[in-house]
Amino acid sequence: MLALEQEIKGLVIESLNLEDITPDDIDTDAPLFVEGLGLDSIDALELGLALQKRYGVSLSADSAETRAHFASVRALAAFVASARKQ
Amino acid sequence: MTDLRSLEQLLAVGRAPAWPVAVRAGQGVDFAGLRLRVAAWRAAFSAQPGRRWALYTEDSFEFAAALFGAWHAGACVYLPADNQPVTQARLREHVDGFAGQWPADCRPLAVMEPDPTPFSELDPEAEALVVYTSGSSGEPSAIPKRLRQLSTEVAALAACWPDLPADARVLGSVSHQHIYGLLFRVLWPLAAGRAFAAERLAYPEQIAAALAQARSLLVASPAHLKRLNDQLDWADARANLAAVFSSGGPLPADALPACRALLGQAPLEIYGSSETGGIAWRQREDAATANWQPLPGVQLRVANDVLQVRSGHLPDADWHATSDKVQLGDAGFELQGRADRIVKIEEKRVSLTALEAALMQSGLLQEARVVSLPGSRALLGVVAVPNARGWRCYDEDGKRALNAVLRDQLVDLVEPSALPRRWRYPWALPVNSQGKTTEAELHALFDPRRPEVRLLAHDATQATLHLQFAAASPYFVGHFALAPVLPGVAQLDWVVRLARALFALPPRFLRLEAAKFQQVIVPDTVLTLALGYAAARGSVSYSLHSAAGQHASGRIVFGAAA
Repeated sequence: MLALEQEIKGLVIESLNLEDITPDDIDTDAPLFVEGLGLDSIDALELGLALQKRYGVSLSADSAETRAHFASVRALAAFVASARKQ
Repeated sequence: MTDLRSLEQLLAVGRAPAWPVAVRAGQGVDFAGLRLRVAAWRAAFSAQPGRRWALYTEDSFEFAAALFGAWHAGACVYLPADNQPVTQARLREHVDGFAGQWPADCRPLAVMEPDPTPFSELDPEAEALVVYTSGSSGEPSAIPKRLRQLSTEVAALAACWPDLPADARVLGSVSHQHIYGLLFRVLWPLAAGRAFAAERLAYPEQIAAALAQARSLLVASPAHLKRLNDQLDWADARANLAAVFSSGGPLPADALPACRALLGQAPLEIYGSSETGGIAWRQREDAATANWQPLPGVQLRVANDVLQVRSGHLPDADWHATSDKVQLGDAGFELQGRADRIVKIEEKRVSLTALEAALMQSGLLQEARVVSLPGSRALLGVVAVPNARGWRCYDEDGKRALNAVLRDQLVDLVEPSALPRRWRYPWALPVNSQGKTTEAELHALFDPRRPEVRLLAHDATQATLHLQFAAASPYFVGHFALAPVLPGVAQLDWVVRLARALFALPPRFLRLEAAKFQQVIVPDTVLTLALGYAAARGSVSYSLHSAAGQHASGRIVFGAAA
C-alpha cells in the first residue's frame, strides 16, 4: 500500500503538472482539494482521467462516493487497490 | 416544437398537473409538485420584511421553486457563485437574508406551509435578479436583471433552436448559480416544458451514465468537453443526445474531434457574458473555425474595434460595449481576443492587471507580470522580480515559501482554479533587443528546459549564479534512462544564454576554448556558475562547480557580426 501511495503521489504531480513539489512534500492523509494541496474540481477531473489511464479504474457515477475517494492520497490508494481487485 | 410559457406566466397560466418538470434522484417531479413547492417558498418569503435574498442551493429543482417563490413574493434574488465564507461576508452588506444551503449563522430562511392563493402574472419590469461576474478579479461586480431581460433571452433561445425535441430531458454539468446555467438548465426548460435534472453532473462517468438513460440535451462547459473520457462507453449516450451546449469560455478547436467522436456532434457554442446575456452562437460541425451568428433579436456593431450589442437581454435599449475585439462581416463575426488584459482561466474571468497590483502589495517585489500560459489547461504564470526582502524569503525559506506568500495575496481575488501555478523569479524582467518586456520574453521563462537560476553577484565583468536543473527537466529524458546526467551541450547553451543576458556580448559565437567536463551533473544538483567577461578579447570564461567539486570549465570567444 505504501508503494501505491507513493506512486499515486507521483501521478498527482505528473498528471496535474505541479511545480516546485516532490512526492515527499505530499502528506498521505492531508486533504487533496481546497486546503492541503489546494487542488480544485478541474484537477479532480484530470486526476480521474489519469487514474483511469494508469490503473483502468473508473469512478462511480455517485458523486458522494467519488468525493470520498478523493479525500486524500490514502483514500485514493485504498480505492485503486480495491477497484483493481474486482 | 414546444409549447412555450413566458416566465411571467409560468405559474399563472400553468400546465397540466402531471406535466413532467424535473428529475430528482431518479424520480420525476410534476407541475403540481412544482406549484406546491413554489407556494411554500412564496409563503416563506412573504412572511419576511426583507426584499433582497441571497439564494444558493445545489438542487436545481429546489432552486427553481425558491426562485419563483421569491419572485411571486415580490423579492429580488441575489445569485452568488458559491456559499463560501468570503461570499457570505460580501453578501451580508447587500441582502436582507439568506435562502437555501447556508450555515446556521446565516439563519437561512425556513420553508413554510404552502399558501393556496392562486398565482398572478409577474411584472416583467420587476427587479428580479442580481448576478455576479464569473470569478472576475477584485470585487465581483453585481449585475441587476429585470425579469423582462431573462424572459426575452429565454424566448430568444427557444426561437433559435425551435426543432429540439420537446421530450428531451435537460442535463447539465454547469451550476445554475451562474447566468448560463440558470438560463439553459432551469429557466428555458421550465418555459419550454422540458424536464430538467435537479442534480449537476460533475464527472464524465456521470455524464455518460445519465445520457444513456433517456433522450437528453446537455448543458456543458469547456471544462468538461475538453476532458471527455474516451475509455468510457459513450454509445448509448450518443444515441440519446439531441444537442450539447457549451459556454462559459472558449472551446478549443482541439477538443472538437473528441466531442464529435464520443458525443456524435459538435457542441452548440454560446458566446455572451453575465452583463450582456447571450450574444451569439455557432456550431463547428466539421471545421476548426466558424463565424458566430447573433441570437434572435440581438443587434451587433463594431465601435473602437470592440463589439457592441443591443438586445432585449440588456437593461435598456442602448448599445453596450463588450471587451472583445471582433471582425464583423455578412456571415457573422470572428472573435479576435480581449481588448483589456482580462483572460479566462477555466471559465473564470481574471484581470491580469488586478493580480499584478495585488502581488505588488506583498512588499516583496520590485516588479510583477502575470501571463496566461497556453496548453491543454490554460494556466497563469507569474514572473516577479523580488526586492531585498523577497530574495531573503527565497534564499532562507525556499522558492515554495515565496510562492505561498505571494499566492496568499491573491486568494481573495480569484477562485482556486484560476490561481497562478507557475512562478519565475528572474533577477530582472527579460527584455528583447529593443529593450521591451514582451509577452514572448516572459513566456520564454516558462520553457521547461530553463533551469532554476539565482543571480548572486554581478558587475560589468563578473557574475556568480546558482543554477539547478530539476529531475523533470527534458534534458534528462533518455540521457540516460538509468543514470540521468546533464548533456554538455545543454551546459554550454545555458552558459551562453546567461552570459548574453548579463553582459553586452558581441553577436557572433566564434569558438570554444579549453573546454573541460571534469564530472557529470546529476539532476537537482545546486550548481554555482562563475562567469568572467573580458570585453577586450570578447571572451567569457566559465566554471561550473558544486558541493561535489568542479563539473565543467572553459572559455567562449565571441566576435563582431561577419
